[in-house]
Amino acid sequence: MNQDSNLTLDQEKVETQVPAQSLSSLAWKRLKRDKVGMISLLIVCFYLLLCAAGWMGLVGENWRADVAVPNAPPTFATWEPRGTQVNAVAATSSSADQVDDDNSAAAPDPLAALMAQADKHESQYASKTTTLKDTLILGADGQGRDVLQKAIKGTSVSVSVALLGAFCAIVIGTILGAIAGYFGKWVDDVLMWFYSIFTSVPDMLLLLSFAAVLSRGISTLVLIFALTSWTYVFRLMRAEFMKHKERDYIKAADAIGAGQTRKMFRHILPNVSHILLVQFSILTVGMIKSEVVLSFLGFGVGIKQTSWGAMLAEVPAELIQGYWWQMLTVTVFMSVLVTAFSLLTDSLRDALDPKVS
Amino acid sequence: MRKIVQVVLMATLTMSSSMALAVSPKETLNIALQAGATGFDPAKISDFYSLQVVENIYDPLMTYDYLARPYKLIPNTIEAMPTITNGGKTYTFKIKPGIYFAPDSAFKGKKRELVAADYVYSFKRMLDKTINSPQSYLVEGQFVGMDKLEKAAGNGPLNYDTQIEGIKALDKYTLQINLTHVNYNFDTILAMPSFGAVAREVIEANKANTNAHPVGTGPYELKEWKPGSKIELVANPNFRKEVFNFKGNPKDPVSMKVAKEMHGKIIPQVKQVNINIILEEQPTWLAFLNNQLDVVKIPQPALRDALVMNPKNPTDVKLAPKYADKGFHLQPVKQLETTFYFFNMDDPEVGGYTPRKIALRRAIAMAFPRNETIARIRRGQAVPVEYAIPEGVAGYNPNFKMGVHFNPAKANALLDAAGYKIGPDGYRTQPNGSPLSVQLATGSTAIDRQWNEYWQQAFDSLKIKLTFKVGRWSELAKANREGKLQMWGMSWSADYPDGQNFMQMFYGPNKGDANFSGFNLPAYNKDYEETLKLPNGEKRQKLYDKMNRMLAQYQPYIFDDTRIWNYLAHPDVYGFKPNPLTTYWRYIEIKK
Repeated sequence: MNQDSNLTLDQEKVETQVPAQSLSSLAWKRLKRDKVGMISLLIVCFYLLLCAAGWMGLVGENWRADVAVPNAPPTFATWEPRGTQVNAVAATSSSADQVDDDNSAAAPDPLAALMAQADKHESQYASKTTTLKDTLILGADGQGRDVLQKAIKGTSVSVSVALLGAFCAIVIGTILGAIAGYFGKWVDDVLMWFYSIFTSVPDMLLLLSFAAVLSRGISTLVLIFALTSWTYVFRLMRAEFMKHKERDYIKAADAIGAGQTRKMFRHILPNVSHILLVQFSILTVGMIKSEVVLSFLGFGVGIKQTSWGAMLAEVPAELIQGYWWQMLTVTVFMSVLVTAFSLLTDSLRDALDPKVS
Repeated sequence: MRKIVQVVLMATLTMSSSMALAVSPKETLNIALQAGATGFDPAKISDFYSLQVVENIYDPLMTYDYLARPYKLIPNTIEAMPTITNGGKTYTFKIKPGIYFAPDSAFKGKKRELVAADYVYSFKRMLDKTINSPQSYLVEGQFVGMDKLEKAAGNGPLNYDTQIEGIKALDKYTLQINLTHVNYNFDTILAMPSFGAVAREVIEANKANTNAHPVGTGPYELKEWKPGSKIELVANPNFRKEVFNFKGNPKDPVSMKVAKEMHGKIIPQVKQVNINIILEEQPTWLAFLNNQLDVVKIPQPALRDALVMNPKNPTDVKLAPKYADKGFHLQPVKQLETTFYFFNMDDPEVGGYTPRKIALRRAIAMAFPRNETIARIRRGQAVPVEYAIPEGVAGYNPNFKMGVHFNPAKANALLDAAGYKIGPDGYRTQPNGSPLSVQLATGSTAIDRQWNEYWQQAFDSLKIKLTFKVGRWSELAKANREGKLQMWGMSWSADYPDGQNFMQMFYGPNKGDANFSGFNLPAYNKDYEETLKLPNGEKRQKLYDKMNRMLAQYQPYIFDDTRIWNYLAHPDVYGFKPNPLTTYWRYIEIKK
């Protein structure tokens, strides 16, 4: 073999070389080729924007206002108010307005002086009268609140709870799983024992137990979801860290004097991050469903908030009366996101770990 | 061929006779309750659902006329209404001979007759500390000599063999009760289901769980009880012969029709009662429409679908044509109840008797949209409470108005005048500048959430912070007894149709029992004690009016509404006329 031929081969190698690409850019390329994945991603992004806009007060802020007559139908529905229905408020309020405060038979009212003062200053609190609409785009609930506004606010709350809950579960599960898998021995035993306690109780029972003890609110729901869902992540991370700590790149890091924390979180963690991303997606979908169940059972968000579950809890009573629009709206809002998130999870798994597909 | 015919005939006869032994569908009543029973020992229960079953298993001395309105007390296991002597302190009852308990192994195969001693034993049980009866307050301190017997027992069981003057059997069938003081409602108290007769040998044979082993002389006996799921009653084979002979009221066509339909028929016509526990309203309604239930109380969400309401008066209702065409019978019944929210009068924030504290409570009452909740949540099927005693109960005054108007603007001005200033955060503070926040106790159902939304609006309009304490009824009741709640809502239904049963809720010494708020106003207490010495009449009515005015002035309670329950029965149900003081099960007939 002469020198010229060697030169030609080297030149060919240089010409066919492609620029080095990171794992994430390769995954992104694969995801872009997946049409279903991209559509799902767009839908999820839209919901995330809606969620953010909700928290910033740009949309859904007026959901508690009574803007229409109770159970006002959607504008698109061909529905006529039944002639036999009664606006019972009008019928009963007049009687209350005419109530006489007959004090003649009793001792003087201990509040007489204060009431006299109140009479003088009552006008400063006079309320504005609003005209209630007969129809709304997606109808009104039993109190005359706009179902669309409620659904948007509900999206904000339900999605936030799910995302934050999933994030917290990932953080707890990853830290504990990494420690158990990396250190092994008695550390692993103690953490496995702790894990077994949580997994020995059925998920829903654990959820309801925490919900019954803790006060109502978004932060409580996030805490409940984090405390009940970290075990899935823990199990996976423990196994991954056990596997990776024996790999050559960790031995090399060991040889150059890298510390334990560095090896765990700078070297191993990036190599298992794709699993976390998929888990995050799966947990988010699960938590959306759990929030609905908890709120439906009355353990969800407080009165000043609404969520998809809280809205669905109102549905059975409305359906008996034939008011279907709140159910339809919340079901569509929820099912679109859950489906999109589930499809995105599949696409992410294929993109991040092509070996499994 | 002839042999074949004989065999076929024999088989048919055998089948028909075996079918005759079983309960046919037309003799079975299927109904639903919204909550399960807690047990069937009359001394141990007080909940509405258990009492309905107990009423049909045990027999109190007296009961109510099924059709009479106003409600009329009639003899049940006694030959005639009691003889009252000694200035109203001595009651003598003559028990009908030939009344037998349902068969039970405790009777060792013999028929066991009801005797006066059974009532003596049953009434003493109500005051046995080891039983801790929730209804003991009704007879506490009433029987001569009972205090001594209770004291001798300490915290242990009573010595039931010790005779006392207050409750004694003069002979096999004569019961005499001597009261420590006159009690004008004593006969109605004894008509309550809790005062039914139990057999001592059955109680002693089933000491471990008397709640699950009811044996009485009533029309039914317990066949099966699956707590939280279903209760099945079957006709008591030893039940005495009773005939339907109630008279209808010519002003009430339904009662006339029922009296005609059922006249002369043996009680009970229904041989089996299947009670399904259905917690949710929608499945209950659907079960009725699908013929799985014979009678239903129309659930609130279905009211607008089932009824046609008079636009000027929503309580004037007719059945919607689509259901009327099916032949359903509608029977609206105004309950003997008041629903209310109460404040803990010992609470440092919402309790107390100073004008400032009263102003806070009054303002909260004025901000609550009662008429709106009646329209939206009750669907118009309730009337506002304007007197602590509801319509239909002796002592009710239809001309009295509590006088608390829905007026958030005035409520705010009142709070300003009382010194509850709005702080920099937009919420009011207490007059001394410390934060003001009110906590409302509540359940966790969808209907609770609906109520809470109205409360949240009311408190928002007053700029007062509101928090919710969510819990189960039993937990909240315990917390309230311990004085840990600030505000809570509930209802009180008549145990007996007399105003005293309602006015005792505000009597100071009843705090911890029926006095939920702990209201303790000496002037009220004095007047209440005075009313106990008076029969129903003008003098007592004047005092009741004065006491109601005190309740309106001091506002320990926010009186809400009295519900109207609209019952619906299938066309094959005959003799149906709901009565808030007695169940209808034994008085109806089903012709399927």
